[in-house]
Amino acid sequence: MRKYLFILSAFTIVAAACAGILDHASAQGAPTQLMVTWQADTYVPNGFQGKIMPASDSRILIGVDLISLGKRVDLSSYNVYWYIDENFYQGAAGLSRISLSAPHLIGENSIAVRVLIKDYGSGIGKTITIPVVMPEAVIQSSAPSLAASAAPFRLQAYPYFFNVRDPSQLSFDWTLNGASVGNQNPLMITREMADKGPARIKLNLMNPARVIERITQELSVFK
Amino acid sequence: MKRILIIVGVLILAVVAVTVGVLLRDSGARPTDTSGPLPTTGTLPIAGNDGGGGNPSGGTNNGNGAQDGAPTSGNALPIAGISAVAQAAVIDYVVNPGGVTFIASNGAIISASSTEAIGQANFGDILDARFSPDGKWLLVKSGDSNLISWNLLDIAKKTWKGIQANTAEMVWSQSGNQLAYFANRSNANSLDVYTPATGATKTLLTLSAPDLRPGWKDASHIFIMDRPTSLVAGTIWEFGVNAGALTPFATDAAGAEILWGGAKSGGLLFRAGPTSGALTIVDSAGITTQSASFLTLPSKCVFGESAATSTITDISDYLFCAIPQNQQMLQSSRLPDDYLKGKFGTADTLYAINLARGTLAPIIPASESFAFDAANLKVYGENVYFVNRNDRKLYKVSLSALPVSTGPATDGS
Repeated sequence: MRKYLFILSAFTIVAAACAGILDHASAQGAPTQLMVTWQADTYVPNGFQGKIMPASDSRILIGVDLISLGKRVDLSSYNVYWYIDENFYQGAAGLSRISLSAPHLIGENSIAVRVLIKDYGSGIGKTITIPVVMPEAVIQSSAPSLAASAAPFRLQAYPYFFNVRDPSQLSFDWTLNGASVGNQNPLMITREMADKGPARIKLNLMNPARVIERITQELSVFK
Repeated sequence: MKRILIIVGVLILAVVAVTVGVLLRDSGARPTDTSGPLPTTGTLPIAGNDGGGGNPSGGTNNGNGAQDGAPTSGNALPIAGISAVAQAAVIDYVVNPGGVTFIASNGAIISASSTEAIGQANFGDILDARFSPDGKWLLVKSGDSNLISWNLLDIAKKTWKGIQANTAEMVWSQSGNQLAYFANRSNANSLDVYTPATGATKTLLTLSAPDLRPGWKDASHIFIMDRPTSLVAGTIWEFGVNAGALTPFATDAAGAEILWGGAKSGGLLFRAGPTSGALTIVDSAGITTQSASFLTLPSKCVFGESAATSTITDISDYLFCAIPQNQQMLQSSRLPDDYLKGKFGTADTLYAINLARGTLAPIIPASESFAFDAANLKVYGENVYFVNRNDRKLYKVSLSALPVSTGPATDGS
C-alpha cells in the first residue's frame, strides 16, 4: 500500500511541476528566436501599405532583436556579427542595427544577410534574403477607355522604388503612337491627339541622377 | 498513513488548481464567444461561379492593361439593396447610433444625415484620416512622407489637438480609446500607445528591428507585423501588453495580413505564395481552423461581430467578404503587392460567409451595371458599409436578405 502511495505521490508532484513549467513557458513565449527586419529608403506613393523594396544602390537599414522566453534580450554585452553574401560586414558589441547599400547591378537580384550572436548561449544566428527589385510604375487612367472619357483622358503614373525623395526628381517622357506628347505627370490626352491613329501610349520613366534607374511602360487605350 | 493521504490530497488539489489556472488564463484574454465554437477544421465553400473568368466583353483598364471583369457600362444605381451614403470622395467614415459621419477628401467632416459639415481638417495635404471605432475621435495625417503631422479632433467638443509622434502609421484600438504606433528613434523603434482622453503616451516595447507595424488583437494584445509583400516571408508576433511578452503568432508567412474578429476570438489570415495566396481562419493561438477555397484579401472583409448593434441574431457567426469575380486574375497576381500598388482593380461580389455552418451566399447578386472594388468594410445595424475604390464613394448594402441557412452544413461543419 505504501509503495502505491509513494508512486502516486511522485506522479502527482511531477505532474504539478510539469503544469507549472508549461504554464510559465507558455506565458513567456517560445524559446529563443531572432527577429530580423529591414527597411529600404526608396520612393513609394503616399498611402502605399505594402513593403518598400530596395532597388540597385538603395540604402537598407537592417535590425535584429533577440527574443528569449518572450522578452527582448539586451544585446549591449553580446558581440553581434553581420555577414553580407557570406562575407563579414561588421561586428561589435551591441551592434543591433547596420546600414548598407544594395549592389550596383541592373535587374533583380537579392542580398543574403546573416546575423550571428556567437556568445549568447551556444550561439544563435539567422539568415534572411532581401530582394532587390527594378523600379516600377503603375499607370492609372481616368476612365476605362478613351471612348468612355468625356473630359480629356487623364493618365497618371505612380512610380515605385526609385532612389529619389520626390517624384518631381524623375523624368517622365510620354509618347502617343511614337510621337512625344509631353513630360508632365499626369498626362492629359485630348480627343484630337488620340484620333490620329491607334492609341498606343508609352511612358519612359527615368531617374536623371542614376541612369540605370529607368523603365518603359506601354499600354493600349481602347478607342 | 493518514498524514500521507493528506499530503497526496493536497498535491492533487494543487494540480487541479494549476490546471484550472492555466485554462482560465488562456480563456481570460479572449473576448467572450457568444455563439459557439468555430468548426475545428474544414474548408469554406467556393464562391459562386458568377464570373470566375471575368467579363470578356469589357473591363476596367487601369492603364496597365489589367482586365478585372468589371462591366464597361460603368456604375449605375439603383441596384436593389445597395445605396450610396455619400456622393463625396470619402477618406474614412464611422457608423454609430448618431448615424454615418465621414471625412471627405477635401477635409470636410460631414454627418450624412444632415449633410452639414461638422468640422474641417485644414492641415495642408491630407494623407489619411481614421475615425476611432466609437466615433469620438478623428485622427488626421497630413504633410508629406518627409514631414508628417498628426492631429486629433474631439468630435463632441469640435476641438483639435496635435500629437507629437514620429511615425508613419497609427492604429486605433477596438474600443477607440488608444492609438498604437511605432515611433522612430535614433537607433531603435518603440511601440508606443497614446491615450487621446489624457494625452498620455506610454512606451510598451523598444525594438531594433525596423519597418514594423502594429495591429490590435484585443485590448491587451497587439500584433507586430512586417509590411506585407509576397517577396519576403516574415513572422507575425503577438505582444502581451500586460505581461510584456512577445510570442510568434504566425511564422514563415509571406505577404501576411490579418483581420481580427473579436467576437469569434479568431481571425482571417492571408498568406501569399509566389503569386496568389491563401486565406484561413485562425484561432486565438494562430492555429488554422478553416481554409477558404475562394480568394480575396482581409482588407476586403469584415467580421459581423457587433451583435449589440444588430437585430440579426447570429450576426457574429458571419464574415462578410467582397470577393473579386475574376479569381483567375488574383491567382496570377503577386498579392497583396499588385493590389496595393493599384496594378489592378477588382469587380467584387459581396458574400456572407457563415462560419458556424460553413455556408456562403451572395448578399447582392453580381450586377451588370454596378462594379465595385470594396475596401474599408464595416457592419452596423442591418447594413454592411464599404468605400468603393473605383469612385471613392461610401455605399451601404442591406443585410435584410441575409440568407437563412436551413439546410445541413457543407464543408467546415
